Amino acid sequence: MLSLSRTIAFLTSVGRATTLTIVIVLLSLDGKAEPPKTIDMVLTSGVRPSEYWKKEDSVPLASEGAWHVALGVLSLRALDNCSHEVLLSANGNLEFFDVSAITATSGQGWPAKRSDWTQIVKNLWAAGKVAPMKSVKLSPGPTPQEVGYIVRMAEPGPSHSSAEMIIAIPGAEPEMLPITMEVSEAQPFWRDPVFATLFGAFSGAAIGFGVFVLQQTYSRKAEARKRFEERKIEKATQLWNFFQVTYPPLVNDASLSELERIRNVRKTLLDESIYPLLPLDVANRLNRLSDANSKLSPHISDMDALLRSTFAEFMS
Amino acid sequence: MPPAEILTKYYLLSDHPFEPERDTKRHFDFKAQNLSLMKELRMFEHSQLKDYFVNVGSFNASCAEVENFLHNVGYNGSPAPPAILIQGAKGSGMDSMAQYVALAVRARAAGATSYLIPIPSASQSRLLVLVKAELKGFMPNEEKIFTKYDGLIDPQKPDLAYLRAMFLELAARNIPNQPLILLLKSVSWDCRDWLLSLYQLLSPLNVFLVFFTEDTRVASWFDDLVAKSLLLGRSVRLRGLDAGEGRSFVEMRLSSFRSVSVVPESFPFNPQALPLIFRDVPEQRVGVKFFIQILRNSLNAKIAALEGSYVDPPPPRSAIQIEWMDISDAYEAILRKKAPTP
Repeated sequence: MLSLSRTIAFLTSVGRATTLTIVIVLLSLDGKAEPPKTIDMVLTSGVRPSEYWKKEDSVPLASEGAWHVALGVLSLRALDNCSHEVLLSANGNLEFFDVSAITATSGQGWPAKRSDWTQIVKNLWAAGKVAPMKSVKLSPGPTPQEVGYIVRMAEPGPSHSSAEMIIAIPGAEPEMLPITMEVSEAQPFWRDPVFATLFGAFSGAAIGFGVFVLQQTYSRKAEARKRFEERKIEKATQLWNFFQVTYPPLVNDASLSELERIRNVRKTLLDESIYPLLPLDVANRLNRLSDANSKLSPHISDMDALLRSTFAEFMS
Repeated sequence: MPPAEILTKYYLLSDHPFEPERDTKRHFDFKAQNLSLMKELRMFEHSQLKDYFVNVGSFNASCAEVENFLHNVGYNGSPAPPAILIQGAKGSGMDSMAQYVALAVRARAAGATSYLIPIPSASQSRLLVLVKAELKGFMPNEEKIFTKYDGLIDPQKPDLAYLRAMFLELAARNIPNQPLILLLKSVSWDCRDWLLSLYQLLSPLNVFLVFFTEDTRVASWFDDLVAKSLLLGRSVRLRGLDAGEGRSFVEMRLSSFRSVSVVPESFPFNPQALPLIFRDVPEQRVGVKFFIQILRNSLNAKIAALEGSYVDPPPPRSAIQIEWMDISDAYEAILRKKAPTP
């Protein structure tokens, strides 16, 4: 600023024209002059900052392998009344094409259905209509200029990629537009975090409940067995009398069928108040034998083995 | 047309086969004797009734067993007689079978007498009081002993020890050479020990015991006592009739009241309809008492229907006029009641 004031003072003293003075002043400012910005001269729209693609959707491109590809069209319009040449380039896998080439190669206009993108890209690629850099002439006026772009990411490859679209007018500061692309891989449902959390919670609860039930069952069985052993001792005389005196005639009566004999034993166990002594599982099995259909022909030996497993000491 | 005429004219039956008034063929007057074929056959008192005791199924086997047993032990009415146990469900013909046993005993001991003693309660001493009353008549010469114990035994609260003592004392006296047949009806499982104790008390007095029981376990118990030689006896088991046995029963009963043979022999009962009685019942067997009731009701229903429709009797024909019995209504009516089945 000190240099600027000296120059103005000098020029005023020599009496030069005011307009020229300002230009000189601008050119002889201390430090660097700010270049114009592309963003102030060109309006850019239509660029999608993020593209998402499914893992299984890829396009094989001739001699370049398979790629995940996204299509887009950006619109450029001059903000001033001047004509501009706009240069489009990119950092990363981003390429450009004329929108009109879509019609020329695929016979359809833009916007196209997403399901047709694969074929459109293939056709553009095959026709060599895709370029990593493009120059566009912008004329003053409200009509925008449309340029297509393709973002792509190799398959197999990373799941995420980013690129930058560079829009520049020569002599002006370029505008940088970031574009990211993500390929989402379909995860099995069990890798879903919500599912995993719920599954963990429920599994934990189920295992806990199962352990609790097992513990209760074991405790109940142990308690029942203990109670049974105690009552067996209390009624030892009665049991001895039953198994030594009453039981043999009932099971050895050949005049009756085996089912009738089994039923007679159960009936007698009830009459002699021995049935209530039986452990629950033994009573259930005895009932199954007694209530069996006669066609199933249950065997007296089955019942004998069942009772022997419980009252062996009285049946010797 | 009166029922008797329908029976003779159209069914060729001399009388009602289940409720006869008179059997002209055997010259037996049921009405005069106040007897019915619907009840137990009191063969011991009226030996002619043995002709109506139809030996089919388990009856046939049981009769043969009793006869063989008495023959094998050489029973001739001598003291220390054996015992017989008859096991069967209600309505299976236990009473008639007991009469047959009593008759078989009398065939070997002509002076045998028979009494039926219903077991009054689960008290053995009360039963022995009833037995004591029968023994008074059986052993009239031992009046002194009975009088002695009459003062000691209170009929309301009889003392088993005194009763046992009395029976033991009687056993030491002169025992009649002809047996007293006591039909004890009926022994429950709780009273199974009585089988042996009664046998031990009464057999030395020449009392032939015939036990009744509905419980198969009592029969098993009895057989076990026999197998252990604690008791000399035989058990017989009565079962319901199956379809084949039922048909034989009908044919034999009807033939008793026919002078000419008829084909089919079960006429007027349709041979195809008879098996319906045995369908959908346990083990496809029906107690003989229930079976007779069905037949009697069916026949009566048919006669009642014919009685109204045959006001003007059609001209008699030389051949048998077929009037098949439709027993379904009567059968259904009886089935609605709870049927005693074996």
